Amino acid sequence: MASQSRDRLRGTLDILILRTLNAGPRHGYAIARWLADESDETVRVEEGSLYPALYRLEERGLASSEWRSSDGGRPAKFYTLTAQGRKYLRAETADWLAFAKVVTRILQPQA
Amino acid sequence: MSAEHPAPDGAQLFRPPVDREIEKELEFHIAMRVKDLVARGNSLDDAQRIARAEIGDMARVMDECRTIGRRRERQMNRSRIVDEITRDVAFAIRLLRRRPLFAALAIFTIALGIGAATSIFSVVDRVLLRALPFSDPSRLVAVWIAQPSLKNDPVIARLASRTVLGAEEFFALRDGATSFTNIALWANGSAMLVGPTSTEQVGVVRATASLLGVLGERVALGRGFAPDESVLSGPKVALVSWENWTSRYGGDSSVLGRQVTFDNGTYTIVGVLPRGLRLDRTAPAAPFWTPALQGKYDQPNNHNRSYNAIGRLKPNVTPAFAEAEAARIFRAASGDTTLAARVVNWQYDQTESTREPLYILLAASGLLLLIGCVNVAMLMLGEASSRERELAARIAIGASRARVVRQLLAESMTLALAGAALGAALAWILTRTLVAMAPARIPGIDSAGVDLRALAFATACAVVAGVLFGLTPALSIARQSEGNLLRVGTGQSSRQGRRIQRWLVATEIALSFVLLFGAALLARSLNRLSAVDPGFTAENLISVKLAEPLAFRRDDSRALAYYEDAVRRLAGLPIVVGASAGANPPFDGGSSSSPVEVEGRSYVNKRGPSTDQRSVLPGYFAVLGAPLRAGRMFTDADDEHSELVVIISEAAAKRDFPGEQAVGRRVRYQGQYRRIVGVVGDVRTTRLTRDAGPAIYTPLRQYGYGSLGILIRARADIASLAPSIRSTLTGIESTMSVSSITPMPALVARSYAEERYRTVIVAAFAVLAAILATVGLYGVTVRSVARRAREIGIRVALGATPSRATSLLMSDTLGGVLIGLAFGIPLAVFAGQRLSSYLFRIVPSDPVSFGVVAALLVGVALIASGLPARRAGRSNPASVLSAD
Repeated sequence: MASQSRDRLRGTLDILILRTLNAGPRHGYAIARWLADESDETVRVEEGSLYPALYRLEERGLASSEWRSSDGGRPAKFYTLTAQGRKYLRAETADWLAFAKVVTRILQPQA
Repeated sequence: MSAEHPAPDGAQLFRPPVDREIEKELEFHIAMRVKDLVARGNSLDDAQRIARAEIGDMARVMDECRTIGRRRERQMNRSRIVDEITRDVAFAIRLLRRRPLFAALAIFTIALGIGAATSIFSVVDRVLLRALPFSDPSRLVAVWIAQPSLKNDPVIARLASRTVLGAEEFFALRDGATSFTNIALWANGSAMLVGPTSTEQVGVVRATASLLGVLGERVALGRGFAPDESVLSGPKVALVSWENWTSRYGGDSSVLGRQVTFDNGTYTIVGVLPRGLRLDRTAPAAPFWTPALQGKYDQPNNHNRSYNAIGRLKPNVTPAFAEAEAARIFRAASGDTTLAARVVNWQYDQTESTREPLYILLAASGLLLLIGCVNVAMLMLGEASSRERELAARIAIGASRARVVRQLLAESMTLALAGAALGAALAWILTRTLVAMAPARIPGIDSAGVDLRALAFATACAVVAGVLFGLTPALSIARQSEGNLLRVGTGQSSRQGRRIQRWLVATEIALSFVLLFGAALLARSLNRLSAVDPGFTAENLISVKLAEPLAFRRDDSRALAYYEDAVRRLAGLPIVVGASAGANPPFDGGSSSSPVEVEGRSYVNKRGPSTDQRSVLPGYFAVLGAPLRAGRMFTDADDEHSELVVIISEAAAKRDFPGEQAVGRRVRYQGQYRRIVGVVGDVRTTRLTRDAGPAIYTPLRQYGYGSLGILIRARADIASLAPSIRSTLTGIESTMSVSSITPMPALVARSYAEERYRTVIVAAFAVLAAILATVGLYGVTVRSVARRAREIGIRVALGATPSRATSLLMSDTLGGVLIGLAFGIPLAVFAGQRLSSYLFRIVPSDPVSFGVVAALLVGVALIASGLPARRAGRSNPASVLSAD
């Protein structure tokens, strides 16, 4: 049970990261900031899991990366959504929303 | 979007090594976070602390990311290599398609070599390498009695290491030996299968009950023999082979309990043998098995040895140990202290005499393949030199030398693999030819074909070949200096390329010399062999074998009357000069021997030396064409009422009566004293290579045994005689069936079919090698002419004569030829020595073969290099100089 929920969490993190990249290439720090901002700081992605997640996404071919200089001039590693990643994001988002809808309906107090 | 989530703006930067990547990434992360936190009013120290704390266990994160990163990099490297190879090969194919003639020539040359090598390999694999289809076949051993004392016996030397077993040795081994888990006897034989309308000769294996167990096989249907069935006059039960069951009995289980009638009784079928079971790999599986040791002569103490023995060694028992044990047991069982044993891996035992000849063929095909490789290397080197401009340009604009070398290798590999594909197709055809023309005595060759193992072999050959002929030009490029490469772009050939070319020519000549020399030795040996005088006149002689009806086998006098009548009638046929009959006529495969003692002489064990024996009708020697040396021939008067007489051969006279008169003396033979009335010339009866051993002949009316063959001497055109021979023989006795009518020269030729087989194959390879060498040398000279055209043009312009120019151009090629001969001759001597046991009346260093091959190769070299050089030498210098 515990591992199952961790899997779902990890899967959720993947979707969130991919969603972030959907808007354009980003480095890890930007991804973390964007997630925090978008969720009004309620989603605190731990950097300890963000970077391994990014590496895994890259390994699976869902994201690609390259080193470029950031606007601050420092070299940073930018992640980009791949075509495969875009497709994956679309499918997983639909899944997740359907799942959330069901859970929401069940949990909603009956009027 | 603000500066917080920036889009990349700069150009792509160099990626840090995979192990340091996460470190850099986290550094950047912390720096950015610290900047943000400080902007929000934190102190620098606080900001740094917070940023680090947010990441948590930094070491673990880095570890995890590194692991993933490394894994990913490995995958990418792999796919990059595949991509690069694909790209290289695609590029190679594009280049090759631009030069179709070169590509076709190279691919065809390689295909020829690989096709030849693969087809020979597929035969070698089936006959020698692949294990027999029995469980744990490495434990199966052939068991023979060895009689070392017979090693030099002119008649029965083959028994020295391989004497079959009789009942007493078998029982002694079965009961006394500890080396075997099980041991069995079997013998190939035949019987007349009596059908409702006709009789037919069928193969019958006589086997002990233990045979299936030794082989690790089980009957497919019914039961096998029981141990107590192999006894004198035991139950007449039979097994049928799977193939016989399906073809003759429709694969129906009702076969069990059915009766088959052979000439020696009616048998009940009790079982069906497993599919594909074959004991003798030189013949199709025998359709019937009957129990061994049921005959009167098969009983212990009859000293009748007529069975092959096969055993299964216990684990951890070596053949040598089993051999020593078997020898002790044989000696104890027979009381003969000179006996020994031979216990050898079964498959090895079967293939002992075919092993080395097959490896010789494999070596010959390997030489052909190597010659092909050299040819293609020369082609590629030539191509590389004509592409010097392109390659130099590519190196000049920054292609690494390694890249160019890799490209050349990709090209050679592509050629080699394409050649292998074509070669495999060629091998498929060649193997069928090899099998079709194979003599019957190569065990298992009938199942040879191009299969996965052969294809794997072809691929391996291609890889080796591709590296061999691809590396040469690649090395020549790689070893040249930059400046040199640019200079060659102007068309001036490098000295390096010329040196490599010369060595390639030398290698080609050396290898060709070895192959041609080997072929010449074998061909000359075959020629000598086929010219051996067998001691009789084979031309226009016909050998007829009959399958006698059962009644004849029971009644000797009836059989004798038949044969006397038959030869009389046959002699009356048109164009027939004479006919006679005798036991084991020459070259029909049979022979037998018995001891002969001279009257009044004493012998060890009271046994005289073994002597080939034949009972014959009068007129036998005249029909055969064997000359009388002394005394007289047999006549019709030598019958059961007259004095017992024999004729001996010259070799027997020399052995038993050296310097004495043999005619008139008496010898003890088959239990009785008989007077020698004549001496005839020696007749070779089994192999032309083997000197005729001492022989003794008796008139059939006085002593007869075994099945007879009829010999017919005709004036000419013996092929047309067959129908009238057949009708004459069945006209006398309708139940007689004629097994074969064969011209004697064909029988004689069959006795050296193996020699002819391997000679034809090696000779075919040698012819191909000679053609390849010619093409190769021609190509080399054409290119060297093209390369030196300008230089020669200048020389001619400066007054060199055309012949001087020609010899200058030829010298490049001929220099290589001379080096090749210098290396080829000692190699050929070595090869000749390896062949020596297969040479008949030819010494391994045969000077004629040397001379012919050397002359041939030098002639080929002169013509192949002379033609293009002459053409160039005579060309107009002006046109050469204005070109380019």
